[in-house]
Amino acid sequence: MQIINEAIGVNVRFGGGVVLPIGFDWRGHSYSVSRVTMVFERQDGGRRYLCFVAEAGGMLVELVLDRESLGWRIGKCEPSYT
Amino acid sequence: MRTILHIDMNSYFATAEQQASPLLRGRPVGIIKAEGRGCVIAASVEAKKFGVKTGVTVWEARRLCPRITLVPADMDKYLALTRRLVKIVQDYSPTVEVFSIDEMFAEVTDSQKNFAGGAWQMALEMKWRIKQELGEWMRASVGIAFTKLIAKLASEMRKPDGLTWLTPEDYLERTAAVKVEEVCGIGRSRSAFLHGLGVTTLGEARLRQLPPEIAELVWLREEEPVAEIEKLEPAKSVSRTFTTFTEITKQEGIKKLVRNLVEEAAAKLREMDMAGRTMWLSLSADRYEESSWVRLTIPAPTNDPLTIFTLLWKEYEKKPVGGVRFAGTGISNLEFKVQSSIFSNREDLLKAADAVNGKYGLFTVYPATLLGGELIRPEVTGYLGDKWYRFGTNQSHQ
Ligand SMILES: [Mg+2]
Repeated sequence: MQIINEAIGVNVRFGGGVVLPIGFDWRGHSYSVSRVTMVFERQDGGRRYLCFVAEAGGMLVELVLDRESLGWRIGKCEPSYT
Repeated sequence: MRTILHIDMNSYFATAEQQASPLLRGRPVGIIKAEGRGCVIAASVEAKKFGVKTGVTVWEARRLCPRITLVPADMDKYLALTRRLVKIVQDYSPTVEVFSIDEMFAEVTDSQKNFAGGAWQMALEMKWRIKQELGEWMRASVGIAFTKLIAKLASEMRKPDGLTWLTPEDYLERTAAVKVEEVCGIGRSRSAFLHGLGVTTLGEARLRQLPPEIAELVWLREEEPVAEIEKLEPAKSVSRTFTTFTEITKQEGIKKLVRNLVEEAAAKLREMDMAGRTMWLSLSADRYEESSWVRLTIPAPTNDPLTIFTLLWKEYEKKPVGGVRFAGTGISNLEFKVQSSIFSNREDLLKAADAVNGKYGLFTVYPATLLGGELIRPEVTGYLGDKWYRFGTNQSHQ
């Protein structure tokens, strides 16, 4: 498990009744999200974050939406378990 | 005779991590406090088969099961799932006791009567909803009985994913093989005492003369009421009214105004995590010479402004007014809302819009119908009757 915490750009689908991260760019690569396995909230003092655990490009990542700044970060990254 | 459900999530923390990381599913997983040291605080179903139990050291866990994956505990995940679980259970009974992060009791003596199929069907539906709303890998065992103690024991009897109903007729027989230490209240010292007598199961214990406090437990006689979480009255309704400076005479303008007010009322509902079944719309021209009053009730509660607006507008169009000075809309018949699915729902979109509006002010994100119209901001009155919301019982997101 790697803790990354880097700001990233995330493509979000707001349509068809869904808001979900569908892809993101990170370290020069574009990844598409194949599924979101869990959505939950983290709190850090007064700041609240919405976290999406997502599978993308053989990795498991945590995409974190800062509910105040609305910025996205990639929180944790895990290579596939083998 | 009471009917009590005990809902117990199976291998909760480890199963939650398997829900989050699909590649851990079906594999032995141990949850630890921090990376690399200490004890296993929870083990997955698969790890338990290797003898890995809560409390074993990391070293011991690796010896018992070399292929175990150790994952640091992530309480935010588990608490988020628990909040969703509480909401599911609260849909089946007003009397719910959160016994621990992964266990709750629901008194369904009365509410089961309103439910086709009774308590058994309720339990099946809860289990199904847990998979829908917490995740497909999540499992719960449910016990049904006439006391809390027996309901808890019933949920223990079949794991994972079990459903067990113990009745006054069969509970003694069916619990005869249960190990004494599994009864809530028979702790370490009482178990040791019983083991010293050569007694390991409840059936064996019942053949003995025992001190009364232990006899009470082995005969499962203890009876305690289900403690309710809170007894606060939630808000009964939300509404928004607006008086325009000049009469709005164009239907397009009236439509925008109504949509705007509905958006605000619905945002209040979502803020409180509530939804309503009855909605009304009142539109009047100058001096109330001409007015329109629409009120309707739908079978399922909603807090979706588009649904509310569409229904109200359809009714309004049957008898439109020529001009509007005063407009009001509201939603009542409120209940706490649990969304039907976590991952694909219009509500997610609405919540995201609420998040944006919360940050940048209202109406940063608003429906296209409102474009080009003057936007009305809600009065700064706060939310009335929102004690529930303040006490944080609605802290579920997505
Ligand atoms: Mg449990």
